[in-house]
Amino acid sequence: MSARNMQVLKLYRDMLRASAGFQDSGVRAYALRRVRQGFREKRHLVDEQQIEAAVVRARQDLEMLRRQSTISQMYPAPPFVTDVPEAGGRRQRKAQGEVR
Amino acid sequence: MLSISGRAAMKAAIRTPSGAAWRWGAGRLTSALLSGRRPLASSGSSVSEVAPVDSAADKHPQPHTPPSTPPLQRPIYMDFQATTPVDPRVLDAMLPFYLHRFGNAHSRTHEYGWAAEKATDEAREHVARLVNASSAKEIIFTSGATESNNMAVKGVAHFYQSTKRHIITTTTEHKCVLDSCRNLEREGFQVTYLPVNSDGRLDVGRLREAIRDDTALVSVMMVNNEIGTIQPIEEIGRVCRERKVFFHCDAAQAVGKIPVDVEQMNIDLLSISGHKLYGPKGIGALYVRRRPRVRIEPLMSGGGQERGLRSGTLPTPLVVGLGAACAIALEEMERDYQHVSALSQQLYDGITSRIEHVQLNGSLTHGYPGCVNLSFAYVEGESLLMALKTIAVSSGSACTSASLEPSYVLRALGVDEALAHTSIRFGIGRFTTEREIGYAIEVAEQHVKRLRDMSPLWEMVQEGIDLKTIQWSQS
Ligand SMILES: Cc1ncc(COP(=O)(O)O)c(C=O)c1O
Repeated sequence: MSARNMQVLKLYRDMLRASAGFQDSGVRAYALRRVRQGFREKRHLVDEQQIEAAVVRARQDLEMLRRQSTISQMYPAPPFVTDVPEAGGRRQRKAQGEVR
Repeated sequence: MLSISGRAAMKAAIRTPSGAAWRWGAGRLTSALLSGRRPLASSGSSVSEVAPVDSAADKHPQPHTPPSTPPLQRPIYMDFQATTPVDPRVLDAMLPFYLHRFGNAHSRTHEYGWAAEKATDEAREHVARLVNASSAKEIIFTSGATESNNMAVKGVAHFYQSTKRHIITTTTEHKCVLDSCRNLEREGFQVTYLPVNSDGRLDVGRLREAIRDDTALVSVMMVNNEIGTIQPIEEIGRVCRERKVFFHCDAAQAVGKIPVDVEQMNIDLLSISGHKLYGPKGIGALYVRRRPRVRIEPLMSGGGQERGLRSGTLPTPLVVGLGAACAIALEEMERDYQHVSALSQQLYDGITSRIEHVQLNGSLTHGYPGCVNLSFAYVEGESLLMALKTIAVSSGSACTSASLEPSYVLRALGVDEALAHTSIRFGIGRFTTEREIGYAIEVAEQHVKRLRDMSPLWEMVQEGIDLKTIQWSQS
């Protein structure tokens, strides 16, 4: 795997991890969906300049995701009636397709 | 940013004459507009009436709650026409302006002011780009769509009142447009309130006939807030331009959701609301065309900000939030639309396949899919709302006050009084999940069935008695 590929893969994982931290399940599902979609849409980029621009943008987005998911945890809301209790944690969220 | 070709494709889609395709058919925004999707939603009516949120659940951290109390839960949110949550990207753009970037955008003498002005200029560009205004100078920031609508309707009427004394609008406009018109009537202006068809659409032929030599303004909304119907805006714009009448469009429910292009649609004034497109509350904008020039009389007098049309210090954090929301909406429109249409279809199919005698209020072919307004026959409206308290939805019954009047919008469509009382508006948006849709379908099915089982009317319907033939009166 090229250094570039490794860099992009790491960004992808970091962004998913940051997205999974959103407190509100709707926002969390959106962020995860949007990150996956964004990387999928840009998967076929070959032009080095375009790839670099996408990486720069992704780094900024990663910082935004980290800040905002952290803030969301500082002001927790009661769970939605549809939310699965914490006890299930990652395994249940995985079953619901939120986490891979 | 959306690519040039993406934007062009969306524009091409609106230009295409609409066929009679089903509202949800394909998931894509472009094909949706091709077939003329349906809209709707409602607005400012009290959400809490509909689905009272436990007031404690509304306030945030409760670190001292004893562990023995069961965790509070909050209803799922399906009222995206009333307001939308602020997108985290929007909040992220706004926060620095509540921290160290607090300058007054009108301060000319120091860095704090210059930085704030630069930020509001950029926001103005983002708003202009989303509606394809030819210059950012055409965007005037206001406190929301209510102010924008007041400013447009009253402002045009007052400026041209020496020669033009007539306004045209429709019966299903938002209250702030209708009330502005009522005020003008009291001042001696004449107002024509055009009726709409049973799907909420305005017949453009009717509009053509209603235009007079002294008509100053035509005001028609793009997407209705209660039923989601999309008006034939491009045709209306063409008629207004031909007859040299100004055209104001309340696009509070449309901007950021479907393509809006003031050039192609010949719109002279356009109202935008921040909190309907994942931006902050308390901010909106009015697009005012510069070529050919539209003049309005300002509502606010003062320091002459916003080209003298709206005096008052700009709320920089809110302006930046609206700008960010518009930039995001432009970039996400296609993706959001696909998401919303897929969930909308799932909700409609789920409910109509499991519950009989459900009527869609609005238009099947010309509707915004994020607004699904359904009437459930043979249940009592109030009881249904109570039963759905775990889902934050809005109802077509104006039960906010003591009045038991059904919504004026549903009445304008000719919806049967009983059905109007049992209408529920489900609003779907960017953060709605498939699980929430599944939950809504299940809860609706369970409670509609339960309520019908208790209803003598339902029993008669099951026995094949035609309710219309019954003499109810005792005398
Ligand atoms: C169609 C329409 N116009 C105007 C408004 C008022 O917008 P605002 O809350 O920004 O004043 C709303 C929302 O309530 C709306 O749905």
